[in-house]
Amino acid sequence: MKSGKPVPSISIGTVFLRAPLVIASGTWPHQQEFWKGAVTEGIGAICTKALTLHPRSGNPGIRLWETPCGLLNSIGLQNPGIASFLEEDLPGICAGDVKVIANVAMETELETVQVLETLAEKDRGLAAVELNISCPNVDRGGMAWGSEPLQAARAVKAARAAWGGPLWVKLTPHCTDIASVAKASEEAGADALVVANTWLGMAIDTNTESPVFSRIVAGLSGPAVFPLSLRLVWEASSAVKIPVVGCGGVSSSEDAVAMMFAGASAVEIGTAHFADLACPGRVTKGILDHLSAKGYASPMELVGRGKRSGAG
Amino acid sequence: MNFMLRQFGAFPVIEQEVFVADKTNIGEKLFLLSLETRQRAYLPEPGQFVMLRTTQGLDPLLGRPFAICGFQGDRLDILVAIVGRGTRLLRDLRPGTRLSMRGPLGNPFPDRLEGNIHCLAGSVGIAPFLIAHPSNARVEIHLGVPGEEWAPLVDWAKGKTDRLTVYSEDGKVGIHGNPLLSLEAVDKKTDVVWACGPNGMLKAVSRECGRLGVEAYVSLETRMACGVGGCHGCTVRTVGGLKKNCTDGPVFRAEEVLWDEIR
Repeated sequence: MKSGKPVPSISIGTVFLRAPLVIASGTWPHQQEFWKGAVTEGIGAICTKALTLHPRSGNPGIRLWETPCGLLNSIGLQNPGIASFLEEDLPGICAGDVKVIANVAMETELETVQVLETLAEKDRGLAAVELNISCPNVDRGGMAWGSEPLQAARAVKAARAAWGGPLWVKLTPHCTDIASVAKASEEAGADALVVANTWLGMAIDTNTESPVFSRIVAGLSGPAVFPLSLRLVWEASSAVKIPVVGCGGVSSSEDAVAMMFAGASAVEIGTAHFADLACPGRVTKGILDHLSAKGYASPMELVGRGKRSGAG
Repeated sequence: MNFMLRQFGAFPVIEQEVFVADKTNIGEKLFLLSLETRQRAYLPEPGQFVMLRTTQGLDPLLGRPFAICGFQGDRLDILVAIVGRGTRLLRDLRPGTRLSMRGPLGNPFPDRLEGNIHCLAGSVGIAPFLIAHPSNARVEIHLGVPGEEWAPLVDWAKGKTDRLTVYSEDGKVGIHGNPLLSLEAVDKKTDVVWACGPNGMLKAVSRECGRLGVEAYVSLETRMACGVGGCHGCTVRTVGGLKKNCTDGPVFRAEEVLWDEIR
């Protein structure tokens, strides 16, 4: 047993996080008041809403549908566009006391490069860019980019050339083989991988006798998908040397610790945070309790621990 | 700056444990849930809501928005229509059960401080107006229900306010027709209309008030995941662009809403 009180901080490559917990993209308001003080307790960084070159109004009709232990969403990347974000939102959120990760939705290469070049030029201290090659809720681009290794590599390469800072790449569960997409993203210049985004699902309203969502399909998140995401984290982290951030269904410190045992260096939380604003503080405290109980000094000691028997 | 932030300064929203203090069935379709709060946020205003979530397990996962219909001391009342599994679970809770409550949230109906406040309610949509009435002598409430199966709500509401006029589609309770009939009596120079009920009714209120030149506000109902402006799941399309029902609403000027986009 080691002595001393464990600390929750961890580094994802060059990005230092005060806690191994990141708020997932698309789940947190851009108002400044939500990026400082007590509401950020236990949070290492917050991802912005997915950003695109031009404003997007998102999808029409019903956008949310709760399922057993889960949530289907079809938001459709609603955002004010990069110019408005830089002017209206970024100054306020960067003045808070939590690190800011800009989630950039992959559109065409040209559009995405323009967004990243604009961010690079106007950057006011972004901790990283999270390149989203995994959105299931748009007709063009989105998760098509992450569905197989060649496309993923092309997207990451273009982004890498336009953005010199830390580049995280958010993968989709809907790919031919997560290990090869992870590897291709690493080779194309990703500094870390976020595994993964929501899972394609759908709902039918038995009263209207038709699909709930206007695009028919939607993205499933929440505790229901945790075991699915855990498997992806295990496989992806086994294939690469860069850090993996686990994302998908984490709602407790047990989930977070399990994901770190599977190879994640940090976890993202989204849907569970909708339910409970105190969730990040509770999860980070639970991780610390686990470290104390086992005599570990840092969350680093949890990363990939589940593979030490050679099972991976 | 939105209403929430004005109220709380640095901390943008209050989430707290509350306890079921009492439950009163109002017929078979509705019940009144009284909650005991530990931390009284501030006096809720008509139109504001709370996100209420059961804390046993992960299913249901998320809170649901409910309009506040009353408060006294540390107690807060919500009127719940039983529409699905989540509301049936709430109905079956025993006194003393712990729940999680976020709020009060959202923007209230605006009072012009002169003239009458002409409230149009569709069934359970009466909830916000019951807060408005006791403190405001200018409030009158016009409640519409489908038919006599809603008589328990009518009887209960009559016990809460003496300024109630009731309408029913089948004519078996109150006046035959719907509360829009009352709009002809509104003084468009001084009065304001507040409406809460199914979105179809609100659309009709908006159209009729537009025709009569009456200032009207509606409280919209949408699905919500967070209630604090994070998820973009409750987006409402308005003439002023995309708005969030939770933080920009739920009360909107009727003429502002693009009704063809409302489901």
